[in-house]
Amino acid sequence: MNRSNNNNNNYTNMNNNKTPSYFSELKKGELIELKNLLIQSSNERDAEKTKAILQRITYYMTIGMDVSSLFPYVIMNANTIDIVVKKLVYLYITHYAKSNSSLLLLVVNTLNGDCLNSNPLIRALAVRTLCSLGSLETVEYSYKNVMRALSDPSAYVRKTAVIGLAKIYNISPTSLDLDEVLPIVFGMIMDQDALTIINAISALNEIQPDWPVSHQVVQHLLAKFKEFNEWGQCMTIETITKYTPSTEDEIIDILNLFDEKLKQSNSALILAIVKLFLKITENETSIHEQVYDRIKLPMISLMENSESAETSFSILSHIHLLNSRQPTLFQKDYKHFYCKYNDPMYIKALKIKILKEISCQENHKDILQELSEYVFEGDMKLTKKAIDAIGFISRIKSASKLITGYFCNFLQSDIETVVSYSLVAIKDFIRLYPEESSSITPLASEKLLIIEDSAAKESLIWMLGEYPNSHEETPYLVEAFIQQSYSTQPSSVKIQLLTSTLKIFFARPAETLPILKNLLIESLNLSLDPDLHDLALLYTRILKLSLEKGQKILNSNSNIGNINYFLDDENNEIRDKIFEEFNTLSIVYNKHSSTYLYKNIQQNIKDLELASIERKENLLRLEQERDVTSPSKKQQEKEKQNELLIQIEGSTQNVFDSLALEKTPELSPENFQQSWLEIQEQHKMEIQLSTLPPINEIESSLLTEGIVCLAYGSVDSYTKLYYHAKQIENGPLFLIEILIDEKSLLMTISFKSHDLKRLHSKFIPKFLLGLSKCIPNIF
Amino acid sequence: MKKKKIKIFRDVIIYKEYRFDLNKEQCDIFFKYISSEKNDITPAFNIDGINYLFIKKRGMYFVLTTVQLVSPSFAFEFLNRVSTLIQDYTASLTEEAIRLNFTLIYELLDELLDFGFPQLTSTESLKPFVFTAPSETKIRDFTQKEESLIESIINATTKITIPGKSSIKPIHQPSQGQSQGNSTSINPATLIGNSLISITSKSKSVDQTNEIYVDVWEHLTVLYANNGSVLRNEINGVIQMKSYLKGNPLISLGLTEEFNSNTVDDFTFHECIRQGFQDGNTLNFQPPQGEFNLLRYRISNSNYSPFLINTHLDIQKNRLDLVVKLRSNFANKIQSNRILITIPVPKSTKSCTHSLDYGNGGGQLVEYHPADQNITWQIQRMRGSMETILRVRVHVDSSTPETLLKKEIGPVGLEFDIPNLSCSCIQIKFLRDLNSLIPPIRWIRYIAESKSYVSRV
Repeated sequence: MNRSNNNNNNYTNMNNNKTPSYFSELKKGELIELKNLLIQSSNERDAEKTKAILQRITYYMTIGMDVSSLFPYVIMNANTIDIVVKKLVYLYITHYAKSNSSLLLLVVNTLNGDCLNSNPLIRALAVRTLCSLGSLETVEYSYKNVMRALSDPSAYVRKTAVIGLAKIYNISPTSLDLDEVLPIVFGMIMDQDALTIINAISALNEIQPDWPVSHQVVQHLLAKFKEFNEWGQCMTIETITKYTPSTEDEIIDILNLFDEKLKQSNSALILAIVKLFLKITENETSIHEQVYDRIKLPMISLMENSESAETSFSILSHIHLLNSRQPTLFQKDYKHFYCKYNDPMYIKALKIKILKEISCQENHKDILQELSEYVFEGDMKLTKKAIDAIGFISRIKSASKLITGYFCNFLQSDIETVVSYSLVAIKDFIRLYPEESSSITPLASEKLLIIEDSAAKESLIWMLGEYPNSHEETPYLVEAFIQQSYSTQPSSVKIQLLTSTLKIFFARPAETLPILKNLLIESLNLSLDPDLHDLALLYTRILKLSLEKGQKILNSNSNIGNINYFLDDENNEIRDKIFEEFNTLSIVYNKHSSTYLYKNIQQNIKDLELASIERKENLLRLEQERDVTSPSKKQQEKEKQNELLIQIEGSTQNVFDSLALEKTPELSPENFQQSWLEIQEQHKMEIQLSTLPPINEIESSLLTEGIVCLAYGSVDSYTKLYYHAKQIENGPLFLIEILIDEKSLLMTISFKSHDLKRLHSKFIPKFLLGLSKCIPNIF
Repeated sequence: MKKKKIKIFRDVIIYKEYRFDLNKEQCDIFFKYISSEKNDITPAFNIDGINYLFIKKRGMYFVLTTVQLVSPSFAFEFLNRVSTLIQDYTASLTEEAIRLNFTLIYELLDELLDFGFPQLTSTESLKPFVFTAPSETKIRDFTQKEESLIESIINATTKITIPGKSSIKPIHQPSQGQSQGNSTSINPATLIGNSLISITSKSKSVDQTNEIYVDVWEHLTVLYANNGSVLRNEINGVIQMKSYLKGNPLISLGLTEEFNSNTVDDFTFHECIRQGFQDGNTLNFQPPQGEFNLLRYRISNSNYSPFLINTHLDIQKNRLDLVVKLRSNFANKIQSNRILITIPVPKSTKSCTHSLDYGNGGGQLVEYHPADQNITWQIQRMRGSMETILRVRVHVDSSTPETLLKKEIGPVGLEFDIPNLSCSCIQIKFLRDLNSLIPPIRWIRYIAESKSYVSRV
């Protein structure tokens, strides 16, 4: 960040101006000086002087300098009638309470006294401070004072005291006598003071999160609703969301009551109401549909005309989610999601995401035109997002001709980023509309020697292989490409090049033969890349076998044109889970809270560690058992079977299996956890078992494949197993979770990897093959 | 909600912990994250299970960190509220004002949240709890006479300062000796009452006048196609108020236009409006003290635009000729403030020449910036019903194809603000105190400002 970003010149000038004396650096000896000043002021009792010293100390505290050693001298000034001095002293004490817990008892007397002060402001300040010390030593005093303050005549003290209860519970749950406390808190929900009611609910949420929301409580909250401030209103609505209305009339009443509130401009309030409406009408289909229509306009208004870009961001994220439920809801309002010239990038990105998802027969022309404008706006990130969105809109069949036009336009633009991103998007487009290749491929071919991006090259070379006749020069282009830069290409490009060259060879053998020959020789003899080497070997053998058959095999997988959807489109299951957490951070992160919340992450790591210990113990026990008992006949037979399988597999491995895994990959439970949370997409499969499989056998047979068990164990009648594997030479990591419901015997296997392609085509078959040795009926 | 911090450019200026489950390390993590180029920065993110939510205002970050599952909208609205409060109490939202008044701000933060739960947050209800007098910054000394820094709450990123006479006084001045606990001028009895919100200011604030400031802001989003037709023309309006009114008067505000589906698409109210419109164009409400947005409205198909832009592009083998004609489409007595027009030019641009048809009257300045690949055209001021024409000749590399050149030049973007203009014709007809014959002192302004005003070439 640099200050030139700041557009207010006056502002910069101001910083060069004189600053007050207490903003100087903390020098050596200054602590001693401050100490002396504090001692002096506690004798003189000059409030103004004391205030100045304390302000200086507070400032140091704020900027992170350690002034904790002044603690004994600061508390000497606690006994004062000046409120500002008192506030500053208490602010300091709360800040350093943890590091000075032994000295806290020295201030307790003053605090105890202040809890009985005639001024309610001081009583509340003392109660608040006492409960914020976070120390076990003072809990006893806090409790005593809080219990008295709960029935204070001043509402200000009462509302502070009830939060105090939550604080005490947080420090030491056992020190609260819940049988005594809970009825009081429930009673306070029925208080007449607005903030006391709200704070009582907040405290209850901390102490007993699943407290039952009764009809009586709801009625009271509704009656008091107008007295609450906006935050209290949000909290009230959240509370009512937990309540299940008993009749349809009650539902209608609640809807009518909050309907007029949808006119308010506080986005937090609106989203709370939207959540309430969606929740209580869940089982009333016809009302539920009406709710969607009713919330649309307020959502758009909030997004367009909000307090700050950040509030718009949250609303847009929610609109994005609502789209997954009601894809047609915002289709007519697409123009609202056009990017504005000075929208921050995070807003533009979301708007493009929404635009592509609401695109339909009626609006796609306008949307495509708008997106194509973003492509040339000059920001690389925007260009990529716009092009990807255009590619996505090709799901609409009648849009294909139009999109072809845009892509051709982009390819001719000669702007490196536009061309590269387009090439990547075009690959999927052509898989959907092979007939469009004739207009695109010739234009694309010309870019082969120019583009730098390897994903774009891979995509383009794939196209050349699929449509070898689209350009007269195709074989010569490939040849020129190889001569120009073959050695510097990454492995993914080389592999694609080999496959495509072979395909071009089938179509145009005379021109391509020398190129293919050189490429095969190069790959077989000089390549250090096992994937490439194995592929070349496979092709060589196929070609030796029969040219005709080879052609059949290689072209057989081109089921192009029959694709209706891609894997990425199908993430509605995740969205449904996220929908349950409407109006929370999960919506802006687009993740379920179980994957990112601190307490959940900590719990998951703990689970893994526990399981890992359990596993080690099991292995140890197993080894001991093996030493004692000789393997039974049955086991011997099984082992032979396994051996055979391994042999068969070994013989084919040379040709087909180009996935070599590390023998002993290393991965700590923490790293496993981290990678697992990082990767969003997963491949899931469910298998119904007939018996609980032998865990140890699974482990050993997978181990021979290089798939290592990290941890396993049984939790809540679920057997959980965690495996990982890694391709050799810094290849991708594969993570596997197996869940077996011990009651229903349903086995759920989840795979994750950054390299989805390899996961699907190579790893999963290998894993299942390994598994099939122990669970024969798996296929 | 766990914790809140306010900071500027790697300096933490105010920091307060509410739940003591996180520590100051989070400040460094925050700074590191937002200054890292590779991240797509969003206003809410999670690192190692800890959530960071922030708003950016006046070059400052207002950050809240929490380990709980909170509502992001709630957090952003709350942070906005905090920044408005600081502005109300210190008179300006600047780094200096916060540094000078940190004791006061700690007093506010102490009351705003308790254990992460919002408590008293309205400007008025907090007055009895603030004992520190604000230290005013010296903004007035080095800003022009008519410039107001307290404004632009909506669009802190524009480079335009809005002239006017809106107040930059702090909202609350505790009297001397008020902080002497036992002799406090606040009657403890008022605190025993049931609702704190209803406490009116009892402080002996000497300099408070019975004033109310009203700004009618309209933000315009206009998009012209290259043939001059209007693709989009929207108005996002807000009636922003700053009240120094004494007591809790019931105010009645009348607008010239009726608010119905013929005039506006949608509108939203501040919470002080309980009833909605009376007779279609009157609002009755008790304004809270300090700054707030009374009414927001949205018009998605406006048929008026304050500036008309016409462009003509001619492409030759190695050069482009662009003519931009700008007409001010409002009454001659109205004058716009500085207009900034930006025209991106192709990557292969070698040089640019330009000329203004009517000379550089009105303080016009045209510059070519090779590093930014654009031309900027500044007009210091422009009266209504005037016209100015810019002709630009861009010399480019002759190898660049014509289609690419056409793509790369433009769009023409305008940034401007025009005082005393209401594009929607929505104006304030009256503003009166329903319980008093003496009207409050009213300061009413109208401002039309560009939000996104673009013409494709």
